[in-house]
Amino acid sequence: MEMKIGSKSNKIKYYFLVPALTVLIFMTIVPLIFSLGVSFTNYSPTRIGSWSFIGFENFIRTFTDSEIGTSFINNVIFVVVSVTIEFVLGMVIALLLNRKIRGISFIRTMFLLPMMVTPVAVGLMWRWLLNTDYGLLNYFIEQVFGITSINWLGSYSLAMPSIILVDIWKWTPFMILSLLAGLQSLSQEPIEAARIDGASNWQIFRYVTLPRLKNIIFVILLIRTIDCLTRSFDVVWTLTNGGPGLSTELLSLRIYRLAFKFWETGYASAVSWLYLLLVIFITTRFISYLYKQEF
Amino acid sequence: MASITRRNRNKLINIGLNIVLYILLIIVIFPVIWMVLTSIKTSWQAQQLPPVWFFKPTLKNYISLFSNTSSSSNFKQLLINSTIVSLISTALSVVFGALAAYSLSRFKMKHRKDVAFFILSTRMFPPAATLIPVFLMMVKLNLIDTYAALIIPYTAFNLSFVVWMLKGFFDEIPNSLEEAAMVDGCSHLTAFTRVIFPLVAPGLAATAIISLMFSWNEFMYALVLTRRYAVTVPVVANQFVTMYGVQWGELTAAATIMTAPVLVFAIIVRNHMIKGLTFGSVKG
Repeated sequence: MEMKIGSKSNKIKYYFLVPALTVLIFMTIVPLIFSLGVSFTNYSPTRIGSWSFIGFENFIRTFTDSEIGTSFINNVIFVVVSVTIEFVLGMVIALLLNRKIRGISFIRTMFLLPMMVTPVAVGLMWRWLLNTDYGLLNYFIEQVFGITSINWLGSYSLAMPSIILVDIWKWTPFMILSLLAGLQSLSQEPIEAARIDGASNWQIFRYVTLPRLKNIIFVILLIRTIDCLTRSFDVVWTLTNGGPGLSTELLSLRIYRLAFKFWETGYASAVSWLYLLLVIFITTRFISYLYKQEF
Repeated sequence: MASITRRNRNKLINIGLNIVLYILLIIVIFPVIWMVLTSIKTSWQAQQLPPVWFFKPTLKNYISLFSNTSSSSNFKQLLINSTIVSLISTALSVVFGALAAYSLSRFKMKHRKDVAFFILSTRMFPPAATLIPVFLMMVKLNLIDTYAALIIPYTAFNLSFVVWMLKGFFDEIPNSLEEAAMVDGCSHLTAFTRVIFPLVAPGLAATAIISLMFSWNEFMYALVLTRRYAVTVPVVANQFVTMYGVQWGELTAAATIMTAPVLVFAIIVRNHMIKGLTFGSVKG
């Protein structure tokens, strides 16, 4: 009797995992194996029946494709510049806010809004604000600096800074709130002790506060890097759709275009596999870090 | 004397910091306010510079948004589609995720670490990397342009987040509680539903709301996997840019409707958001 109960609950703990793992395997592992297969072919839905295995040709082509090169460089610029500015701004503002403020919970809630607004709506509202003729930003710039009709989203030189600007608006609050939470969880004693010892504000920040925020900084920088790298499709699509030319084309937009505009399914699969390897390369460190924390 | 001037200086610094804070708040929420304001202006008022701040609000843009019933932009149907897809995928990911999280939090088993690692790692998967094979699979399964084509991937997208979040909530509940219930004759399942579930219900609700928001906001898969009948709001709102490039009134009305439920939800779960977005490593 006891044996029976024991063996039953032994199985149950695996049954509990079955639905979640089934969905995850069918939406990650299976598609990836499938697309690895496709990436060695010249398959295209526009010419069904006449596809063949072409070995590593698609992968070789990726490294010689100048449009992929441009998207890769754009992606690196977009991620590095956005995340760096978001972090520095977020740190400065979090330090400014780290004191007793009336209505802090209201302020926190307001800061949550930009990151929750539907990304497509973010793109649309900023298209309106950045509009060359009727946009509010150009109006203010004209009033203050006298410069008129800046073509934010339509010019080669300003399109990239514009999408970075929108990303900063959307995600700096995340940095602020995370860092503020970290700052407020620190005990005050070491800071007081350092102050009594005559340390300057900068020294306290550099040698007392910053080292103890290390873990949080590491986590939020990596989360933002990964999300900026993998989840910027919607905002950028709505703002510029990669244009003008290829000036704001990101890897995810390129993969979409290769697969669903040019219908080069085989080639697009190879590109998306290399993109996945790039992301895995960056994330492995992050996961192993979180992993050490949790278990 | 010196202490008085120091107090004055601190006061001045405080006032200065408060001004900085208010300017920041305005920058952060202004785009959203401007979007809502534009949506209740006439097209003539919307394009006035200097901007019109005081005007008689009109619902004209909203009415024309809903009265335009041409095939793919029947806005009411789009809202229904978005709601169905987000609700069902959220329900599935919360049920599946709660079972998995409970199992990972409570049971000793062989590959527990590997399973947890795999589930967490799916959060890092770039959606664009699985987009093509998922599309080909949906074509094979004849599911293109159905709700299922979106519900299945959205459930998967939310699972890692839901499992990780709920595992945190389960870990906070002492083991002794269900052991006591099981000594009293409950099975694992009834111990879960009668004892543990009520305790994690608030966390579960917050988790559900956050995954509802993610599903509601999703764009890339909806763009690729739907054509006409299962199209969700973000896909069509996007078409306003090309279709009605100059109709800022309708465009901002669509953006406002799309954003309104998300903002309400964000306010409800404000205390869990940062924790959720950082996998519990930052306690908001």
